[in-house]
Amino acid sequence: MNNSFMFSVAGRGEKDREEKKRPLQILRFYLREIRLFRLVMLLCMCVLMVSEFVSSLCAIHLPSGVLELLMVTENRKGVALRLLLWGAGFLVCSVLAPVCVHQLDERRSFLADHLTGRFLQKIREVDPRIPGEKRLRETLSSAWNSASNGRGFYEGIFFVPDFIQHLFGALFYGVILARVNLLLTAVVMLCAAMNMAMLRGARGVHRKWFGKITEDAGSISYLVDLTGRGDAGKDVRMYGMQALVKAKYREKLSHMDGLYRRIHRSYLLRGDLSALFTLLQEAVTGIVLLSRVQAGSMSAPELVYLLGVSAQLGRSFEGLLRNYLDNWNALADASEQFEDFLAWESSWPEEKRVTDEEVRRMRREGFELRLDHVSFSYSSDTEDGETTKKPVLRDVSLCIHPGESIALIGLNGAGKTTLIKLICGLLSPDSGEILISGIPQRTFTRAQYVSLISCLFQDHTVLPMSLEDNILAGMEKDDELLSRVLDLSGFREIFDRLPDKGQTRLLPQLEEGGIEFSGGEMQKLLFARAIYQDAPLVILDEPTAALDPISEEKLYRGFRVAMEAGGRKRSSLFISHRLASTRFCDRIVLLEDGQILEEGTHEELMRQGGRYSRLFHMQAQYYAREEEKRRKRALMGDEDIQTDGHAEGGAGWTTERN
Amino acid sequence: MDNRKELKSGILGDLSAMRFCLRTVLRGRRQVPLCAFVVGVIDAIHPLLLVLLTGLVVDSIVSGGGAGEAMRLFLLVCLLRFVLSLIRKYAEQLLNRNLEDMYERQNDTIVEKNMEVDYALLEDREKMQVRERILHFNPRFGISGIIVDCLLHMTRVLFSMALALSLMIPRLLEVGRQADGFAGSYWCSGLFLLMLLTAGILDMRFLRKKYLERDEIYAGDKTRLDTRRRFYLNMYRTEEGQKDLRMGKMQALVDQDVREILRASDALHKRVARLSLHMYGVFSLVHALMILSVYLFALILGLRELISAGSVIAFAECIRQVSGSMRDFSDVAAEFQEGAVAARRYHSFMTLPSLRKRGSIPVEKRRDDRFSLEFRHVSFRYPGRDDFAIRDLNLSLEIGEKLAVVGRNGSGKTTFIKLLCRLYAPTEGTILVNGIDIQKYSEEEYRRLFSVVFQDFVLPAFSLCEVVSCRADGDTEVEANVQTALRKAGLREYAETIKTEKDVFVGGAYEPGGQSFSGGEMQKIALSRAICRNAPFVILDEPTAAMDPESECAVFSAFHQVVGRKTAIYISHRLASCRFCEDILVFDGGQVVEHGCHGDLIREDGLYRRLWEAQAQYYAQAEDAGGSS
Repeated sequence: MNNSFMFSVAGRGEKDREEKKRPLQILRFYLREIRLFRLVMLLCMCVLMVSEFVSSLCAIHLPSGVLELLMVTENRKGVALRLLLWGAGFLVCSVLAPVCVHQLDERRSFLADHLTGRFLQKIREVDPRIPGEKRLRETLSSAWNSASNGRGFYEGIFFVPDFIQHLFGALFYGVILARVNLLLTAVVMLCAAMNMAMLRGARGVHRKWFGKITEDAGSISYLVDLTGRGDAGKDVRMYGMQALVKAKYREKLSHMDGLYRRIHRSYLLRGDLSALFTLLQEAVTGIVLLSRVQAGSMSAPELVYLLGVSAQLGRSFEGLLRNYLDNWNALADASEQFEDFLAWESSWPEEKRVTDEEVRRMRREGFELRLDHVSFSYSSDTEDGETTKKPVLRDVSLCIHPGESIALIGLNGAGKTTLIKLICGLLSPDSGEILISGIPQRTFTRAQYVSLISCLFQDHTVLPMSLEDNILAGMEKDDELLSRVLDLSGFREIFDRLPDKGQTRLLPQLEEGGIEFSGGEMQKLLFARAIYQDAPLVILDEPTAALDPISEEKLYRGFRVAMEAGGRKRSSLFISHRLASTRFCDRIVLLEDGQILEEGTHEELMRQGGRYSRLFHMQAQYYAREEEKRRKRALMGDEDIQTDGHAEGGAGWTTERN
Repeated sequence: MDNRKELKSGILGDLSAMRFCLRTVLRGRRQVPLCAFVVGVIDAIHPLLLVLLTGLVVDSIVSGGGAGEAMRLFLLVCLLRFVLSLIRKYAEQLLNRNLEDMYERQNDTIVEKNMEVDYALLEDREKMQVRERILHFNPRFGISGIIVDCLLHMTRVLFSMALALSLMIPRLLEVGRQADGFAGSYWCSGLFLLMLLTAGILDMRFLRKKYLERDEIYAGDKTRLDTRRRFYLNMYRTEEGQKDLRMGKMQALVDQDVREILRASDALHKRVARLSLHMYGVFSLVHALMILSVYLFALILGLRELISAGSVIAFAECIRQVSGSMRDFSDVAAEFQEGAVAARRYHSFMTLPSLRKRGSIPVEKRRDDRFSLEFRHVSFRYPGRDDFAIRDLNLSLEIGEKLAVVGRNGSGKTTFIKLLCRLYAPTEGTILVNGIDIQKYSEEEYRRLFSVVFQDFVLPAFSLCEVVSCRADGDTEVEANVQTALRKAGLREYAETIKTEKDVFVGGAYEPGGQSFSGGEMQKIALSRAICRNAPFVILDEPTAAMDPESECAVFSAFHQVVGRKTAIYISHRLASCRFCEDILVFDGGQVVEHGCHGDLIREDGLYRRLWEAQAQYYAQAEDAGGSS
């Protein structure tokens, strides 16, 4: 399965991505996002910053203070008091800092919830569309990852306080040391910087291979998922695929191992060099300070103090750079992408240009749907970064009158599903127009438009809620309608069998005691949902593929009844590979290679003897021959009564329930 | 992996679970724990050297030994630290390199287990949830990553404690010898150390309790909310997943539920935050007090001139190290706890029974591919379900011909196939092939009897040749077979590409840039896989459901060619296609209600006729209408 995101945005202002946002802008957005989550977060960060810094200060002052107290003879009280203050500071900070760290850490794992809320709120506004430009896909993928597991946002929570604290520390200790010896500060900073340059180089090597590694990891996780699935498990066992899958896994694993070997060799090389720099830094510091002591211009407590300061300076400086390398890029990238994502615009108007009154009237009385020279193509990025377009629909014109039922026929890949998506407003045509009683589709608000159409898709979604919620799908509960829908869809027998009836939970992986329906049961449920919406246009895409013949026939009949209920004009669009379904449709539209090839009633098309009649014969031949034989026998008085009786019984089923 | 012993409860069980996990995942790469140990030891020594150095330098200055000696000492220690850090860098590099793909290595074992565990367990939700938790645990380095990490930290902590104590105790003993008052006496030092120890232990017990409490929240409510949240996010991952949501008022339902999730997660978060506040607040306070008291103690000793100034520094810093280690120790203890729980989980998954070992009788080779098949009072209930999917099924077939299985949805057709394929064992009764209980056959050999195309078949996203042959090592003979199979299934154009540069990958999930096939094409590939398998039994479960009329017709007419002279079992809702079969079984409510050929069954007023007529009437009448006008 291709997991890439398939969205694109309409009406989004073109912003050149090359023009990088300034770090402060990014940080502002990031902090805003986090602060929205909780104000306590900011407080924690500040406290963490201060207490980390103070506790590093204490760590220097405590030993030198103790030493001083031991060595001085006068003003011991003053020294002791100062020591006491440092001690108290140490006490407070060493409680506060870990508490803040852990508070932030716990918050991290809940941050994704907040981002999920933001993501879902936005995603529903924008169109699900083709995997258009790579850039947009990346933006969405990044935003999705942030929402899913806090990618980029997690790092930031520690990045900000750490960075500020280390920055402050570097300045503070740098100045202290510089007052003693400017050279010393320079050496410490230089060594730390060289160390970081080394690390950065190694990271560069890492990043260079990162894409490849991610790819391998993706393949591997696919295999983990595949072998863990029940449906694939059958095939793996029956075809003895264990060795093949294992070989495939090992192949990627050893490739990955090779890459890591290369990466870590470069880490090692640079690590050795950086150890040398550390040696240099320590030696220089020791020599300079000790020579001062030798010259008698520095006391032992001062020496201890300054050794502490120089170590701390090194640490601050390293922390600063490491933080930048480790976290900033991830933070900046994720924040930027998330901000871009939140700026996407919807292709539907926000203000109502069509009155609700009008929409209600259409819901009541039906409407005419007209596709006017509609063309559509899917675009995708090739490897060279160019966008190619693959036309799916070409110049399709079609009109569905109020109350008319249409059968849409075509081979796999003819463009039927795309046509439906266009009609449902999930895609917008490249050229041409879709008109609802003369009003262009995108004049309605999204909510208004979708209330006019109900659609049963092949790939369905069931929500982890009660069965009733899933059938109602957000509509108000109407017991009478619900009961009728259950009858018409044939879902009644399943419904009655369930101990909790409408309150049954679905999706066992999410809901305790949830029920899982088989393919056929699910199709009935989805059909019930589609007709419960009671929309003036109902679209069914392959609703019977998993149904047995009797259920299939019931569905056909139920559908016809539902469409005519209450004497209202409802139009319908029915897609099926089972050409028997064309029998109860007013008109047949045959789509081939994205164009309408034939159009007319069953009789007309059969008379034409074109594509449709060929397809029909293909399917009918086996039944027909048999049927003919049987009819001949029936004519001879064999068993006609039973046949008719049964057919009537089938029809009577629907009338009886009405 | 034969380690089927039950783990003991308590820490010993934890340790053996961790050992099991490391051994299974590392597969003999011993250097990994060794490196972790080395890094841990050096990490313990490295900072202590500095502490010791400071003390020595101060002492040599205070005692007037001159800075020259101090400097030599200083440089020597710097050099020593340099050497140590070189060793550490090497060990770390080796460790990190191995850690990087630890998660993938762990999952290698999981994939293996996935493929050999009893099929019924694969469908067992509870068992598989254990697996999901293993997979979601530390998705960077996996469980063994945590264990190795734990080992490293544990070594460091214990070593630095031991080192610090070994530095301190002789000094304290010496002090005790000189001391005249209570301060500094053996009693005093002993009491002091005891106090530290008690505080540390109590503290750790407290932390452990709270940690378990928090883990419970994470494992329970938090995980539940997370799965739900991810479910909604995942729906928006693909275009297909979210079509439904955008129609009607579904979105409102989702919004409502998401709000609910966010609210619940908020409440949960407050609980966790409070818990963590208690945990780390108390813990840190105790440790800060410990450090201060050590400083005070050392200061008192120093002021009484029982120890030198340099020793006070070294002493205090040593204790700081120890206390720091103890703090780390609690982190390590938490990590250990976490790792142990995960390792136990891993152990329980990896020791699930696998069928492979059961049954050993080889399958009798029959050249004429004729087998006798018998179901004796077979009943079957899916695990965790109350209703029987198959009820007291008695069936005896002399196979060598074509058998069709028809029936309504949920009548047990597919379950019948799964039982026959030995994916599930019957709850009651036995299934016999050639008079022998199928459970007694060697599993691998038994399965080689079947070429199955399941309704929900899955094709791995490997190259077409591999997908069809199901083998990693394709030689020319295999390739030829694959090509023939593809041609027979109506994929002539792809047959040419096998093992050339144009050899396509089926979908992009394994190798990016693979080709995506339509549902109908996928069915044809699955069909060619079955042909290529060349097994005596061919089982086709709804092989044309996703095909358009043209492909469907092509498959029907190729049916005999596909099946050849072999035994075939065919399930379809398209009754016309069942007419190829001499023998038709009609299932209803988990039982065979009718059995015979099409001609006989259609004459009886039974389920088969009802099914047939439901479908045939449209074609007949339509044909009629078309023909007559």
